[in-house]
Amino acid sequence: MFKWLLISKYLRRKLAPLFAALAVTVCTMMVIVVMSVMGGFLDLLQSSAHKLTGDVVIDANTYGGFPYYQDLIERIEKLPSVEAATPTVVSYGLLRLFDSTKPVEVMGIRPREMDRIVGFSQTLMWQSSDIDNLPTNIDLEKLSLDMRSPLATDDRPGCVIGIETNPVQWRDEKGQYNPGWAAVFSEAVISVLPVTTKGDFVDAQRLRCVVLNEFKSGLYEIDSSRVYVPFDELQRKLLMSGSTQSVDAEGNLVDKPTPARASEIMVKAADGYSPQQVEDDVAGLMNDFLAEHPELTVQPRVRTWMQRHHTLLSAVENEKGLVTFLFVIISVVAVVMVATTFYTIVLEKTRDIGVLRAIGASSYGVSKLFLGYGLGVGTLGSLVGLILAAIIVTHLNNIQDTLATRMFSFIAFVLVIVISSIIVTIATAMLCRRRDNRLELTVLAAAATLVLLSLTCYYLFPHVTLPGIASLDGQFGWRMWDPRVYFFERIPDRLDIFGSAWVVLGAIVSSVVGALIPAILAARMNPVEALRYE
Amino acid sequence: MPRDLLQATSLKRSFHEGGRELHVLRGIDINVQRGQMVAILGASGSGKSTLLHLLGGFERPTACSVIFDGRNIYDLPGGKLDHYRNQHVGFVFQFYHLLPELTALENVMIAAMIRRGPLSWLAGQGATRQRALALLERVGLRERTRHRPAKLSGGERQRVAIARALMNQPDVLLADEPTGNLDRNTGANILQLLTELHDEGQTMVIVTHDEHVAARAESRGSVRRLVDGQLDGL
Ligand SMILES: Nc1ncnc2c1ncn2[C@@H]1O[C@H](COP(=O)(O)OP(=O)(O)O)[C@@H](O)[C@H]1O
Ligand SMILES: [Mg+2]
Repeated sequence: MFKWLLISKYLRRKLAPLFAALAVTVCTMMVIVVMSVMGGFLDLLQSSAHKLTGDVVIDANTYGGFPYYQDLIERIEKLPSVEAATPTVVSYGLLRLFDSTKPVEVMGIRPREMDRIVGFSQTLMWQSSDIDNLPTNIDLEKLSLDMRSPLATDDRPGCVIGIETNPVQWRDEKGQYNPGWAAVFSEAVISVLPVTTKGDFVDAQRLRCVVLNEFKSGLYEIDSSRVYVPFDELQRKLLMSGSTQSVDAEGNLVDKPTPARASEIMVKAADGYSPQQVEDDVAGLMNDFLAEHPELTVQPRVRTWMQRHHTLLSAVENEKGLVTFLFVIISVVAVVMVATTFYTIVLEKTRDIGVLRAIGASSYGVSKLFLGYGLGVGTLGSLVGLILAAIIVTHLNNIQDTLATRMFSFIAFVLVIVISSIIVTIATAMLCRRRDNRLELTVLAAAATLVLLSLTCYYLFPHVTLPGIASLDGQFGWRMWDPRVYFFERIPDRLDIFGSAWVVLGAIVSSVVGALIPAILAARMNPVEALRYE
Repeated sequence: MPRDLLQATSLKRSFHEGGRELHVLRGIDINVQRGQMVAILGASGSGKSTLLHLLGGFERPTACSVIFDGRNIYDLPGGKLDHYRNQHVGFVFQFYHLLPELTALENVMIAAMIRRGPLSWLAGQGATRQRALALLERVGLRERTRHRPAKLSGGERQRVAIARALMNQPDVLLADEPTGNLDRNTGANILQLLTELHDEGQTMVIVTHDEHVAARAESRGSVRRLVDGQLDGL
């Protein structure tokens, strides 16, 4: 029991352990912030990637596609683990829009089925209200899901283009797209190159369509290169919709039907089933399917969305791992800090350790004293670090906005806070000295002032403009995160609670480990020699 | 003839220092009976502290052993030796050796806390506190319980140290030059306190280099002289 008494006394009456706790705080904070932000990116990327392909995707593994897809879909949809499946055709071509031509990936989809499977309508950028001068009876979302021109007389199909394929669209410094530049109801001309089942080129085909909406998936590569068109239209243009005749081995037309083909099937798992389970089930079906169709020389692949986007996701995963690792290495500093601090404390307290031993403390008890001390420093430091990290992470976007638009006002505010806190601290220190030099009171007063002033300034900050400084803010400003460069317009600002718990635990364990050597030293000390120590 | 509380025969202790063997205690014969006050007089460096450390269970003698209540304390397992230091002896140091972070009251209480787990501590907390307060009152420090050692005079610190040594009702109080660091008057007061405690039945061994102290002890117990690593007189 004496341990806890002494630990609390040592913690409150000494500056050195406070510094050690501070080191633990800073390291914990760094690691948690980095982990949360990088983890946030990974989450964003993952959910975007997931929304592109559904839970499981079967792809043809060849530009020419695979036949009997409708039959396969019917069988897949009968699986209890599957909720729905939809076919797509994929090709590459050129998009001509506003006199600009760009290479794109053209994807033929059934929008309503896509919506059920991956929430297609959620990626649509514009609502009717966003676009000026639109007749009130026009519902852009419904139109996009029908993929038909709004005019009954118009027989052109509709299309939905990736927002970055629009040559006149751009993002402002807040990362927002401008509805004024939306290509809605403009004509897009898409040229595609069909190939025969044997892989030979046929003449390029041209598809004129009306842009009904723009989509933003969250993955720049997709948004800058993909165009959605109706499944049947593209299938026909690509000569994949089948016919009553086919070409035989000598190249002659014969009266044997060619089946229609699709490039991919997207599958959505039923509630309670994981993509992995669905993949297993679908792969089983696929084996039967292939056994029934020995003529399929190129076998379609079944993959989960994670396997499909493996390269992209694991790149970010790697980055996250590496950065976290680097910061964990930096955090070894905290362990060393704790160890040196405790070492000096053991030296300084040698005589007291001798006294404790002389009045009956066991060497085990003395070592527990220092381990407990490490536990105290680690717990205190890492919890404060967790709180700071939580504040920083959840306010990252504010912080970044502040730096971009009100950096100098912010510095002025911080100076006010810091200077007043220093004055308060010195005042309390002087007051306390006259009575009983209680370190804890000084620290407490300083912390309280700091928190109070920070809170006041935090709430005043957006409302107060400091003359002179405001003009500085207007001229200079630093955007640490330019959303025009990166594709997510907001910095991920969710605290990784599970990871944070591990970091806090790790910090506490490291502090105890840091205290271990000093604790062993203290336990080994001969009481008589310790008493003689001056 | 009552059994000796504390007893040692031809107790030896030597140190290796700079390659030479330094024989500090060359064969000490001592026995302390319950209720007795033994004073050991010796010049500085004669080995008084070393002897007291051996009796207090702080470090092993080079040869022979210390018998407490019929048992060799240095044959006890480690934990039991800690227990011996905590429960059976109370030690008073020349330089007080209070813990600077704790108040006078806490310094006294810690002797009782040190070997108790949190639960038994909580259970006995009130009683412990009461006893510590009573002891501080007994040594005349009723008004100083919340002072830290730095705010106490030398005499007051030694009183706190004596209260701490008495906290666990030790069988024997070992005092290592308890007045050695105090002026004559204060020292006399401390000595007065110790003799009163002896009158109340406390067994004690006091070592000193001060003839005055020895003279006070002479009337109520035995005074032994430590010369050349051996005790003479009875
Ligand atoms: N750990 C040690 N190592 C070497 N010599 C020691 C040690 N402890 C004590 N001594 C020596 O033993 C002698 C007696 O010391 P001490 O018992 O402190 O004397 P006293 O208390 O009578 O003044 C001294 O000469 C001292 O230098
Ligand atoms: Mg001495």
